[in-house]
Amino acid sequence: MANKSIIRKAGFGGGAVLILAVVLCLGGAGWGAVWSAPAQSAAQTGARTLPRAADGKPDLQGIWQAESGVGLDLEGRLTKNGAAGRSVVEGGTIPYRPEALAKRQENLAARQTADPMASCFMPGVPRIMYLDYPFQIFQTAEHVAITFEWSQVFRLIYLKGKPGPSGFDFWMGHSMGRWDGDTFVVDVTAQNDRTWFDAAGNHHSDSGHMVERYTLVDADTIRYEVTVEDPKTFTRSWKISIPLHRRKDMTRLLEFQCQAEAEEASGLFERDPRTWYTPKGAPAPGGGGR
Amino acid sequence: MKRAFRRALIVTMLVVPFAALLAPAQQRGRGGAGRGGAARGGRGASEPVRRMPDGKPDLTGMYLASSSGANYGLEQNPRDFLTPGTGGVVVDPPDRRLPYQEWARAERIERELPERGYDDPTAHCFVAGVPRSMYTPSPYQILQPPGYVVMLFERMSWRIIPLDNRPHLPDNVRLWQGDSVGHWEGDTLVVETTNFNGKAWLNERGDIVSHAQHVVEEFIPVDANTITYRATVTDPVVYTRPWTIQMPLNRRTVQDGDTRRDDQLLEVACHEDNGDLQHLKEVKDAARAAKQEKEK
Repeated sequence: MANKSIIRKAGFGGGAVLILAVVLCLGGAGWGAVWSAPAQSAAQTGARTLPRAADGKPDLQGIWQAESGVGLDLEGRLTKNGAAGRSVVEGGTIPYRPEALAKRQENLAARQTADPMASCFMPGVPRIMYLDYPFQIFQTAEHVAITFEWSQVFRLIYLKGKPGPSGFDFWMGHSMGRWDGDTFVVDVTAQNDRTWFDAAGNHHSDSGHMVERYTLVDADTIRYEVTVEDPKTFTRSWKISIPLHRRKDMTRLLEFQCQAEAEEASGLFERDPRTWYTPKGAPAPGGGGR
Repeated sequence: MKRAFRRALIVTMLVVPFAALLAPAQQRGRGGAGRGGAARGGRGASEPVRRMPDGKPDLTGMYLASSSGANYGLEQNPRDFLTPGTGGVVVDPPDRRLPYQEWARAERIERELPERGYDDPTAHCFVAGVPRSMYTPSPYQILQPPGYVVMLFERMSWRIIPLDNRPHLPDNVRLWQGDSVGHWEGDTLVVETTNFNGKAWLNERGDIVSHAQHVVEEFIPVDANTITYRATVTDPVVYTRPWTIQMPLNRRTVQDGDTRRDDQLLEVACHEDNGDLQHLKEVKDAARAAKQEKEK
């Protein structure tokens, strides 16, 4: 009875289950040099017309989604329907160390099963930001929260406060945010090495440091840029730039529960006709208790 | 008798190997090294309810329910062999029992069989639903961005509660966490939730809700660190009348120099490291095979 499942559902079955940490906040000093001048001037041009929150900061709140297909391959080689792709990586290619490039090729070849998302595992940052699913941004005085339709994953970005204990890592990393003028900048650290950047096997180590920049270019578009620094995997830092579009057709997020969908489809999680919803007009499922 | 013994035996086989892991893991996560040794909870003298600039209560913070074991049963239950006893959180009906219809009470008892452990959606790391999300033994962050109350659960799920009196989703849109709309009544946050898919369980004991579930929750601020939580569930498919549970939600803070601040959420990678579901499946498959054998 209850006990049989305590361990399971608690998700506390051993140290591996709780992957935790709160990690040193890196001030982000020195990253300014990475950002291209056009990004900043564009932000300034639209500054007067941008929606603003009560505190005067650009209002990023709302439901957003990246252009479809970006998450397939940042370098644009893999595409939907074999159409010509476009790299979102500045300079076109990711500057891998040789052994890391070999690992990428291995991942690429085995991607149907090796992709962590094929197992419905949390995608990590930045991949979660450019899936083909919408997400919603919320702003408060001390936090920016991002909730994702994909499997109800969320990010809680701290604007204030001290980092907690170190020594653990997270699937979704630890995020500290700050405003750099009208751009929201997030330092993401403490990610594990089990997530990929895309479905093409692009990967990182557990020493990755991602710096995200969210710049509202007009009321319905965010320029989302990420600079990746991970000396174990790459010969230098590299950068991606992806537009996020406001989902004006959505007033609320729904749910895509990846693992539940998979288990219902395979029969591993079975329908209970007495309690589950049946659409009106559909034949009532048989075998119920009512 | 025989069945009970066998159940206990299976439960022992299942639990003992993991029980040893469970305690240290929780300790690590909840105030041990994982939290930097910081004491959690830390409610001192009662401080007044915090306020937003518009005068509404400020519920922002990290909370954990003091639930009397509601995740193992909403009614009062004696401690079973290796099962935590539960204090009971039902405040209505007056007899503090859930007003089950006959079929549903039978199903609830059935869900206590070892082979039904597999059927609890949270054993699969699916989201807990409402109101269960509020009393799983794992903390959550409440935020109050403009126009919303947002709840982020450490076991990786969320609730988004708009405060704009919008209509609920069309009837054919069905969700694990349902569709919530909230409003303030004085200092009380009232949240109405519908559009459930009927897949969630209310706890590990198997208390039942269906797609017809309609939940009205009240978050009543008591002081800066305490919310009284009440949830009234109406579900005509399962129950003969509405019922209400109540429990305190306690804010979790840590000492930070001279001040206390909210503790930080961690991340429970439940599905990513779910190695034990297979055991529950084996128990279920074995029970099913035995039943088929008997029916032959």
